[in-house]
Amino acid sequence: MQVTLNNSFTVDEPIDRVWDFLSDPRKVAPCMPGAEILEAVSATEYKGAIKMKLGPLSVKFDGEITIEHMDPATHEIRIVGRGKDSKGTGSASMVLKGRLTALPGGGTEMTSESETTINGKMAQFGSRMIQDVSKALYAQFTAAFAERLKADTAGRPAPAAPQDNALSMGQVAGAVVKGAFNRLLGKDKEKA
Amino acid sequence: MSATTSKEMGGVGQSVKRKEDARFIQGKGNYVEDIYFPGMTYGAFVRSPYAHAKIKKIDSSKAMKVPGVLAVVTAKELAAHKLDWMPTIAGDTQAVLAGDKVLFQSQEVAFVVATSQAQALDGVEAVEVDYEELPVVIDPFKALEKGAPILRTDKKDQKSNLIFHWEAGDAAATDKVFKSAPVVVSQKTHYQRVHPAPMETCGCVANHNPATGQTDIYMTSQAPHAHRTVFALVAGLKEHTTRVIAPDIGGGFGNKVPVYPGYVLATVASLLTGLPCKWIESRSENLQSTGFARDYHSVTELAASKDGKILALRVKTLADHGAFNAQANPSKWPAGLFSICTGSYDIGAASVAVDAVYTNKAPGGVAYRCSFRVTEASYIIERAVDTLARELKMDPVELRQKNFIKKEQFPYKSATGWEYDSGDYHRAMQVALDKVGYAALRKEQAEKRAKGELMGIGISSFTEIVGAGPRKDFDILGLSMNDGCEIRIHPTGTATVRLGVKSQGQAHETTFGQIVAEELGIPVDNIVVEEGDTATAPYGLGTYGSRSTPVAGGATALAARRIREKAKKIAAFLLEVSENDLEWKDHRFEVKGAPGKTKTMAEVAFAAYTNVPPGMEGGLETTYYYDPPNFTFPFGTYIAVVDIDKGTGEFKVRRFVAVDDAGTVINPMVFEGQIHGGLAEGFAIATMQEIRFDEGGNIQNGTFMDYLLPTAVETPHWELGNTVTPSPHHPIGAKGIGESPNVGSPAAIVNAVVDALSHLGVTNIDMPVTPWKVWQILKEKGIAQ
Repeated sequence: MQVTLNNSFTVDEPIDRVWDFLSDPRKVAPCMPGAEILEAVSATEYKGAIKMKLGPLSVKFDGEITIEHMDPATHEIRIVGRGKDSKGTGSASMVLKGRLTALPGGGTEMTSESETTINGKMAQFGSRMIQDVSKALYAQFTAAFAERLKADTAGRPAPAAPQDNALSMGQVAGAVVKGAFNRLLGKDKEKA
Repeated sequence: MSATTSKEMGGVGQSVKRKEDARFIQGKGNYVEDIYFPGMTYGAFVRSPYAHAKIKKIDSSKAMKVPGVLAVVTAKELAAHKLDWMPTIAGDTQAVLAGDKVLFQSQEVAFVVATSQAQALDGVEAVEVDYEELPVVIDPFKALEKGAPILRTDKKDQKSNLIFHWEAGDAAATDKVFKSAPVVVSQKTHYQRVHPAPMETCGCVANHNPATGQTDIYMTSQAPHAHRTVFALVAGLKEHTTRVIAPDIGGGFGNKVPVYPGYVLATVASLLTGLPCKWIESRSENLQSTGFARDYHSVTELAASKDGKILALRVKTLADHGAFNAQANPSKWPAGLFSICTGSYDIGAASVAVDAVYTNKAPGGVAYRCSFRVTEASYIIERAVDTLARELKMDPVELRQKNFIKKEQFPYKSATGWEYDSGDYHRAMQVALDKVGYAALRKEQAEKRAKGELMGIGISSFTEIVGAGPRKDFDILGLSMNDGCEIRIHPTGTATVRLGVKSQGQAHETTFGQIVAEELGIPVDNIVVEEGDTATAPYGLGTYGSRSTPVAGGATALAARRIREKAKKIAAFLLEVSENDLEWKDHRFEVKGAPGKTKTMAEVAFAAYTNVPPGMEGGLETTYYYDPPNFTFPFGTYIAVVDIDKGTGEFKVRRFVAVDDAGTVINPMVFEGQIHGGLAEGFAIATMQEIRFDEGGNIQNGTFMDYLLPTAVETPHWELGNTVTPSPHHPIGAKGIGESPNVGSPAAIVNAVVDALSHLGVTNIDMPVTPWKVWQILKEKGIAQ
């Protein structure tokens, strides 16, 4: 199944700082709950892994991340990720296009479009929750991104990646339930 | 048709209370899950998450370390015994465990055997499989396009995804009629993939005793003898030391006809370990991997005269079979009885063509009370007739009445070669029209339409075909579809009846006893009916396609009559008269003209063991194998009335009148129960059920959260009517009611919803007709509130 997500968020840092941070997967990966970079194969290819828990489903995807396009002049980046669950329960691949725009106040806006294809158990059982889970993950990512970027700028060591690499089920479940109710009550304007 | 026996005797026509219910409602039934043996092991499957992928490696090392796990079986181990592939009922082969690649999501990849169910499941979680995804084929039309990935690379001569091309009728004659016909209509329909979802999932307990060489297999089987023979042919078991026992079955509906890998692996595990092995699947496994139903894409054309006489029928169908051709059809009939699609109408020329394809989905196709594709056939003709009525601006009832086969025309030979035994379609239609108040409803519809309210009336006048089948043309894997009945009358006058069919809820323990009560004058409470154990039951082809009453019922009546013939000789001897002086009156023997001189069957039975005429063999028992001369053709008219809510697109079935004719009715209460159940299923199919896949072949609704079953809240109130037109060739004139309600109801509901919207130009809505689909139409037409 395919999931399309278009999002944007802003950080209080100048565009060049954000670009430097963003173009280094080893700095960005820990922002995603449960994710880690294992090895740099080349300047643009990395081996990584991400652990996720979705209700009764627990998956660990091992895969490759490739930076296919990176333009410091236009601040555009295209990343392709491909992963398989180590036990053989499924696979996911994602094409992510990100673009930075400098904001008048000195901050930066990051917009992203992602196309994710999911096959296997997650697509069987998780399909109705994937949109909500993706939103919850994105929220966690942007919060972590802002925090780690700040620490990086200040030269402080990065905060320890969460001990528990698996997403807190409660957090995501809460977001999912909330999302369902919001849609029911027509409060979610994004849902077509 | 009123009963001839008293209520106590419980003969044909009495609403005898179901004997099986006592144990069921007390929770004292004996289902496969209740079977337990000391030392029993348990098996569970590792299943494919992908619809199409190469298997690069299976690593079971971690699984073998899980406490309680005894073995992990893969295709490699099965191949050593030549058991990795097995034949299907349709003459194809099916992987017992996937070898080089998987072909559908949820396909069986490995079997973990452990000392408890929970440990087996833990073992499954620990097996690691490395897959390489392959391009997926989900759309059956795309499956036939040039360049589509070939799915069955295991079959040497398979150059495409086409399984077969099958035709019936006369294409040349039909095309000729179409060329010159004044009116031609075409109706495209998709009868969607659905699943019967019986309350009990599939499973078995295999128990091989190495000391005696005996193998007992307790199995959710609708056809124990056929399964035993298949096991013998495939797994090298010997039939005389193999016993298949189908205990109580919690619903079959065709789901328990195929041989599933679980049965084979549990048996193999027991044979190899000498320990009993149980396999029971979970609900989602049942929905995602076992025999689905339908998935026929059809284009149905009718040629007619301007005044509404149907001249010809032409049907082209694309059948989506899934990854293996595993549908349960008689061997010479790859599209089952689909050519019954001329329905209740006198059509001079017909041509039917079916192309079947492989796709990356679970295998199956024949299930859910389909009567061997009769549900699909009946749906397309009843939808096309409504389309023709609209084209001709004719009332759909009038068009049907004009084209019905007339009572005088039976036995009627259809344009596709079926000989319909009997029917009175005009009468059933009239009873339905009167019961629903048709004229008043049309008037109400016109008034509502003027006010902008949406009300629809849908008709379905079906004729279906059941009772497979005559030996000369019908067999399953070569096994003739006749059936046996053994009757044994004991000295004290009670009887044991054994059958080769197998009830999964159809009340055989009651109704077959009633046939014997009727024929032999033994009270039904003194008769026990046994089925399901191949060690004792006479050979039979099992229960599906509503064949029990037509075939086993015939065997039962004829077995009883043979007993009565012998009993007459004994009675004559006891009464010291000649046989010709005796008559069977009021369910006992009476000397003609001497009303006091009688002998009951009970008295004769005692004599059979104590005092037979000299020279006669003692005892009073027989086994009769009945080869039905023809199928039987139940029919009916269903009328649905719906009201659509313009705000939500929801519609309520305000009324549903179902008039059925299945010939002689053995037990009116059981008859009605069968109809209620089938109508609920037809309603579910028409309004809420569909097995859906995304473009990656991931099943979207493999649990009851998303695959819907109707509850008492949604299900309409059914109004039943009944006409009786006996079958002239059946020993008691009965035709069988099991499938009719599922056959006839979906078209009535869809026709009603389309009728409600036809004035806006709507001609078709494919099932399931959901509020979302209807609302989208309302929005498009600008009338959504």
